[in-house]
Amino acid sequence: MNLRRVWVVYSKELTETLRDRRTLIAMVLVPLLLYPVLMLAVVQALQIEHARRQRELYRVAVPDDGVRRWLMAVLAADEAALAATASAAAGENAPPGPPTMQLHATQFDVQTSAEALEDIVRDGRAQLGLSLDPPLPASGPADDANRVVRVVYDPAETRSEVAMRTIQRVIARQSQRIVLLRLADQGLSPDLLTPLRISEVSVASPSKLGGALLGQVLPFLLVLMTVTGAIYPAIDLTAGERERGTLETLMAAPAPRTQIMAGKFLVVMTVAILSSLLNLVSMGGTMRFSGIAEAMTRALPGAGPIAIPIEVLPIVMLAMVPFAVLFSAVMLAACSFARTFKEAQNYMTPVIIAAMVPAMVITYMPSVRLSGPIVVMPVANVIVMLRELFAGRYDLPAMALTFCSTCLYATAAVMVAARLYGQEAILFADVGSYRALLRRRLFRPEPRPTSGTAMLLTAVVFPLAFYWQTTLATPAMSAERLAGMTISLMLLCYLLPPLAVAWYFKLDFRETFSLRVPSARSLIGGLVVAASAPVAAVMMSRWVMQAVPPSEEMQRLLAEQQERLTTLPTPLMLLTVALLPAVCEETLFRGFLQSGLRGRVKPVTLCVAVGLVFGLFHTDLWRIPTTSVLGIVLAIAVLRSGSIFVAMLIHFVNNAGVLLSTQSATLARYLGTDDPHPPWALAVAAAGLLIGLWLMRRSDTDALT
Amino acid sequence: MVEVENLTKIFPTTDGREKRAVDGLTFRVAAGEIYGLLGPNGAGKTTTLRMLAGLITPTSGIMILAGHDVRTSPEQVKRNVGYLTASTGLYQRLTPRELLVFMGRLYDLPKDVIRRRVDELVVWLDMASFADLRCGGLSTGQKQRTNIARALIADPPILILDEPTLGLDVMTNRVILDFIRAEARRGKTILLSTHYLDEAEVICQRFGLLHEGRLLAEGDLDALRAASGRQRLSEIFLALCGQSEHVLGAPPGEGAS
Repeated sequence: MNLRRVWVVYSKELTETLRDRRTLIAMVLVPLLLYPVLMLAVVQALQIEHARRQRELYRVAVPDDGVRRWLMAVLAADEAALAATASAAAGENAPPGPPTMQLHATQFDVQTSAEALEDIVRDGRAQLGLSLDPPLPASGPADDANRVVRVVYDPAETRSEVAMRTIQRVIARQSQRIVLLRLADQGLSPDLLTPLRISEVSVASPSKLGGALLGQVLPFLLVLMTVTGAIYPAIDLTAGERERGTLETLMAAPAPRTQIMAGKFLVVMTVAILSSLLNLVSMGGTMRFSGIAEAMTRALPGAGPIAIPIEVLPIVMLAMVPFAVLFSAVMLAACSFARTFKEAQNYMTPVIIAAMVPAMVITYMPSVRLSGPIVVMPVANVIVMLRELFAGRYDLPAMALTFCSTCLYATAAVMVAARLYGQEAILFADVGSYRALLRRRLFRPEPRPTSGTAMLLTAVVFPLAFYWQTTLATPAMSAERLAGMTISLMLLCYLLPPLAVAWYFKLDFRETFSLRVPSARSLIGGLVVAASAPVAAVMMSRWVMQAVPPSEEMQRLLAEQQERLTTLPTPLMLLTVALLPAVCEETLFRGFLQSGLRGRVKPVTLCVAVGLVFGLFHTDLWRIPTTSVLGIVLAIAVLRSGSIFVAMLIHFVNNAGVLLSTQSATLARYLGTDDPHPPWALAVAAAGLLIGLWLMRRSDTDALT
Repeated sequence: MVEVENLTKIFPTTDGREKRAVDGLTFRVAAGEIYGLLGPNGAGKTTTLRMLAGLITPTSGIMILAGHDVRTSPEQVKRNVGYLTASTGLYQRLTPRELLVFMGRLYDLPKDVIRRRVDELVVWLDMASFADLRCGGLSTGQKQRTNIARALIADPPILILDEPTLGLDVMTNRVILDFIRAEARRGKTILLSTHYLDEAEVICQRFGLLHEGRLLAEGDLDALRAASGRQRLSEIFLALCGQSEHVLGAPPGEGAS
């Protein structure tokens, strides 16, 4: 790819975008103003509300003057008692402060009324009605009887509700004071009533607590703002260009579509990342300087001091990058389909919903962790990862997988965007309907898939295969069930989709899946590679295990799985673990994916990419390095021999060899599964691989074509 | 310079039928020649020119421009072609000068060549007064001159002009026609489409009469006069179209001479 031209497009588009008022508003102004304004508004509103409540008078209707005097006395006593504890606490230097919702005694206007209390409260003439049962004695000193305090209130009225809560607490405290007096009368200690007392000890650091709280809200906001920031450039650079009539001249310039698209994509990505960054900076600044930590500490008494983990923000930014990449690509792909600005805006709605719904659902599921299927679920994985980061939890393998899967989806989306953009039907409205793009009858047969189709198919199969495995796999699965799962996975996820897509797009099967009879040299080379590959693979996975030791539970699980497989009859085992993977995985990876990328990227990039994607599909961290290397070797084999069958042969022998080594001591010795080989054996194996690959040649007839 | 042989473009339509927009076109344009592709709306002029500019792929046929085959080396062809239409837009938020520099860089021209070329074009097309204003605020005439400059930035030997004077005022029209003549004098190959037949009669040396995707007649004015027995281009055109209507089974006695 001519990077200079991508840069030319990029710098021009970025200049134009940064001169666009709408983009600047969405990207710079909104985030810079949003958070301080939001914060100010909330704080202001709370203060105003608080002040209003402090001023307001609450009417309490009572049946007679006796109750009135009793209630006034209780309110006054409570106020005095609260003031005393507050000053005592201040002396101890631990200010819990009076709860903000508490009303003062002076705010209650107690009035006697002859009417039914219910009517008065219902009509709103008083917020509360209060009576005592049994009633107070008409004259003489108050007795010491237990009473029911009947409070009439209207829960649909906020003021009535607020007054009710205060009175409830006041009466409860009064009741407690009476108990203490009674105990004192009997000469008993108040401790008698509290045989057990809880003393809470929080291990959360102030910043962890703050992070956990922020993690509930901020990821959603961050995701939303990143997406909105990139909408305008995405539309403007694609549909906008088409609508203004500049696309035709751009396409007439000697620059391939992919380069133009790459430049445009980088601009949208830059804007999305800048949006993220500005949002984070504004958020961080607001949180740092607005005293939100103190406010939260006050609002959540008992949680302990809360601090905002500002230092996590740079890492959060890093985590936002793949997300920004993914959504830039998705938006660009959606917009590439549109002919006009309006149409593009319509296409944006589902994209925004696609970002928001998972974000919202995850927000309301605070216990979801970054594990299982969530790890590869687009959007959801990023949101959960952000939350984990805010809370100070770092699960590196899961985060790496989140990062990689997001990058994979993003690549596929860019490819689709490049394929769609500049399509004749979309480029010129008068050429025909874009619905014709999906009509199989109208397709022209092609020798092999485009890189976009290949990447897209791989990206779709990835979560499919992942869910298939995680849904069907249970820890204590029987061997038969494991075999059934693997067989269905191979056939439905790896074999069927590439075949179906190849049929639908009228691709040449021989060309797409490299269905050529290998030359004799290639076959010999394949056998040499097949003999060396498992030796290297066994050594390599052993080193990986030593470098990153899996947890004991993981080790146990791996061992159990291995053991369970060996209980299967040998032919079934070979079918499940060697033959089907060899056929199905090769069809998808070295067949469809490789032919889609072949000739469009450099051979080295091709083999490394095919290998890495293959590795990524073996989702657990300990298998990815080894399978990636194996994938690269297989990709080279197909590239050199021109035949998928050579790769299938190597793949089969490798898998079968490792499996059968549990039954044959000779094989185990050869592969070094029980006693590790000395390190120099790797050099021998590597030499075997190289010689084998070197031996491979396309058969003569193919070399000519 | 431009060789087109048996060029055909078939569009799929939503109702599943095929539309032959261009049907078996064959013609040649030599260097220094102005060739006019004439025809009513929907005759296939624009589709033909878009195929030559490499914007859409033909269903079949051969196109060789400046010695390069459009199908096998589209980039080489694009390097040698300046493409201009009346409907072409400009980047609103760039200045004409920035736009020209951007286009020059897309053509992989060295920086000093671009600078020299832009300065030349600004002088030649009298753009100095607006070369550093944003395109969004330019008048139609200024925009059209900017567009011409854009098509000429790489000094391509072939110019493909799709209805270059459509909807322009008299003054701007004049600018365009002058520019076309000047470029032809400099030895460029010019292929233009229009349905203003009087204008074409003045400016073009040879003509291709296009009707419903097919070439009805081709040659210089004398050849067309001989073929149709009429004098003015518009009459020739009507006569030839009428003939084809008749051939295609129009009611007898209508149009045929």
